[in-house]
Amino acid sequence: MSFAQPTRGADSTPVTSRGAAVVPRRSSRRSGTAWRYQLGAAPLLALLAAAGLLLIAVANNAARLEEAGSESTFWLGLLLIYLPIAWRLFGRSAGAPERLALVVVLGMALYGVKVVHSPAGFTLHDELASWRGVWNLLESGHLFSDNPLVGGYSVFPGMTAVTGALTDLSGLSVFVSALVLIGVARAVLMIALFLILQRAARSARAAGIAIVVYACNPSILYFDSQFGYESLALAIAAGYLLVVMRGAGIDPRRRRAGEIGMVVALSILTAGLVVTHHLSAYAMIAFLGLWTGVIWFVKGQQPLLQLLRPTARGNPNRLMAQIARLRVGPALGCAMLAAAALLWFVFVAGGATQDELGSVFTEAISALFHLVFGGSGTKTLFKAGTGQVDPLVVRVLGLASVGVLALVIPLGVWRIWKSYRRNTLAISLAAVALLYPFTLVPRLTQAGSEISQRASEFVFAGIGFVAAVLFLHLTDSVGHTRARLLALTATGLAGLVFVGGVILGESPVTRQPGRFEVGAESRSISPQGTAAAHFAAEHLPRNSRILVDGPNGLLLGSYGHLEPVIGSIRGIPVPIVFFSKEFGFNARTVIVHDAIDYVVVDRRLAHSLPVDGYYYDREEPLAHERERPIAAAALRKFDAVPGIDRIYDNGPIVIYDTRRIEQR
Amino acid sequence: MRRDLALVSALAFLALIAALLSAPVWLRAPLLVPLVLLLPGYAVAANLFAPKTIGITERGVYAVVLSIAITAVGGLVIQVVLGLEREVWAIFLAGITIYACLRILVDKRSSPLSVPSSISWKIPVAALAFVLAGAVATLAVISAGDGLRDAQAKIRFTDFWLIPDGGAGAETDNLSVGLRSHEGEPRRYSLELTRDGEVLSQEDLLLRAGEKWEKSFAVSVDPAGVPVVAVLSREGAPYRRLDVVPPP
Repeated sequence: MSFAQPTRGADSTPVTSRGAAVVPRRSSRRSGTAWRYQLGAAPLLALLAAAGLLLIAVANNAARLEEAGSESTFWLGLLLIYLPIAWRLFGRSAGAPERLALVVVLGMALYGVKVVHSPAGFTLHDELASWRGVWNLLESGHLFSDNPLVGGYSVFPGMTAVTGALTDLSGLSVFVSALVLIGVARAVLMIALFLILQRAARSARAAGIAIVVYACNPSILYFDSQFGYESLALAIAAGYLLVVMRGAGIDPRRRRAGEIGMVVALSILTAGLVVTHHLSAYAMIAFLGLWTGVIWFVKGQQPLLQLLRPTARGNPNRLMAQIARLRVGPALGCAMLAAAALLWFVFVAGGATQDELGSVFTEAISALFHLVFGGSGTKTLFKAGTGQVDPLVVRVLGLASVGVLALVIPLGVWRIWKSYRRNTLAISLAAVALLYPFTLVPRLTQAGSEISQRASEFVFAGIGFVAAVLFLHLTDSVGHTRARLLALTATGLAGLVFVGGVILGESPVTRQPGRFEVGAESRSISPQGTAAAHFAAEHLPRNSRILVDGPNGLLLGSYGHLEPVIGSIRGIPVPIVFFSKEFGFNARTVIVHDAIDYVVVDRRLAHSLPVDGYYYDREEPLAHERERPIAAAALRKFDAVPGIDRIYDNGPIVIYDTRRIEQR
Repeated sequence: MRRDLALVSALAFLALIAALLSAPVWLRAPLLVPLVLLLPGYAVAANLFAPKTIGITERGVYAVVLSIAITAVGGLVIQVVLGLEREVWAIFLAGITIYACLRILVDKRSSPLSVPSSISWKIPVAALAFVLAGAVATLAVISAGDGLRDAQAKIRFTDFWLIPDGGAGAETDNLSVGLRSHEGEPRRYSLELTRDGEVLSQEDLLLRAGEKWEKSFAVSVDPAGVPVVAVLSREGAPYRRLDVVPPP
């Protein structure tokens, strides 16, 4: 098969195959290397992608004004970005540099969709929490300050440090610095993924196709494009894997890099990854562990021992010589990362990691238990917390995309088993693809949706690889016309999976901007909430403890420099303060014993049910089960409570000072 | 002679100067963004991976991810002993970059990096198309920003507050009352502060869009805890009401 033949990297001369055209040509005319870069249709497709982005911006503007046709224009823009690039990458005629350029264009255009969604400020949960971390750093000059919005951010301060440096040095705002940082990280991720998959399949065409499929993962549009530590860590993790692959000799056409260099590079990247994001580090450990296991299983003990055993070179009496004797590969990469992650967990981040990931996994497992054995916690797919159900065509597209993948994965894995049985990296990627069905099951529960969403960005690298191998096998021995037809069919199917990914990954309410919605994350970030946060920053004591709904809590916890309180005190869930029409014993207990300084009321909450299923906290009473909105009288009751001062009002949002309650 | 590393060290030096002299943002940003995201990693990668062991694309990936990791880990270590101020960041990042470059530049044995010695004539055309695509994408972002501003301009409201002077946490018998207009056009307000029916203050105001008005006034401490009530009217109609018991 053409894709199984050795080819050069995107940055070196590839061997001709029908799938991967040869592009760079060497010349001995001058002492250096003369290269010709042929970018083919990439510039034209970049223009088309930019036009698609413009279309999405227009669609979002229309959505903000609730004009008809905004949704169809949005989808048209997305498909204008995705389909032409997919078609070109499925085809045979593009060369390696063109394919590389196209995957970067695709990645950046999809990042642009997030930028035009929130062009002037942060609107997502993790973004506002990250903003607070950077603000803490700029204020104090030190990392590890408590982050009241996401505790984990303070003990994984890698992205905070980099953004702080960018902001401090360049003079740009935190928002612009974040856009630059995550944009650069996205470009690097796409390039690194391309190189990884190209070397795994030994084909630039396979790498391009794999990334077309990778771009279908439900997280790529918003979650992985947001200013969050995972968006940055993915790029570092991809760079890490690239070094490991180089150490394992997967690009044999080049002169082997020195072991010392690779070990030092791995050490720097290990530290960078471990201090930036827990899950990305753990996922990389798991993958490298899997790869090591596959080497053992497929090739026996000897090759693995060779990877672990020092080489014979160098003087063992000197440190550098000792390092030079190491063999860089998945086993060493896994061991270094695991050791660093363990040390970081034990000495720095254990508590916060357990709090954050432990609760996510515990809730998901509990929800799965209820799903199997009956009980609460299950959810109806394609249905928002308000009861709004996606149209039939959307539900069909969402399910059809899963169906396509369910068909492609086993066929692709079987193909890899037939043709790549000795390629341990290919087998490992296939094993990752096989995790896909298991990542879908948690999506059937409220608590498990987040795990399913987060897993997709890792699992789709494997899915992309197996899909590419399968497609190249199908088109390898067919004529030109049939190959074009197959490319067209594959483009259509990939478009279906891409649309399905967007449907599954983002609720219809938050897919595009629009008027204010209750409990709907980015749609609940309003000018009034931002104004209240700026008032708080200017007039209220920093880190005052407040009771507030989720979205306004993000604004007040970030721009307002306050500390939103959630959870429960003395067995009483704190949101109970808002739910009863009377200011009774429980409300007073929460305010006094949880040392609440201010209560923030958004009177719009009484207008409708929350889209996400809860107003204040996922654990609040009747979360996801509420049938009627919170009563307006329950939100007005603070006006008549002795000891509570009404200190701020901008119409929808009122702030009450509760500090005198304790004195009564 | 590695001309690329000479250029990198020169850029790092210029960036350091720009940071230390607090150059204006338009000059600092293009010099200092690469100092965080590109130059240290490029220089370190040049030390770790000799020419011809990795290609340019892979070198580019390492330049960025190593820069990010160096900044993250370096910041983590430095902040133990020093505050992470602009000068500290600049000296650290430029120092690493220049030191790593010099290590190779002074090494007579180092071989030059393979770089394209001739570029196809198609590249400028392609570059032009990419620049055009970038311009269209920028237009999309600008259009989205305009759309957001237009939509938000339709949401009109006024912030109104009444708090103990010097911040709500201050122990004082002064109160501060203020308002900020987000009404998009000039608006007339009248403000009345009373306690127990007695008028403490009365103001007629005209605020332009985005304008803020704030005033402090002294109140006597009332042991009975009778609140001060502030009533704001807009265009003659009652609009907002706040009440605060001055701290004892």
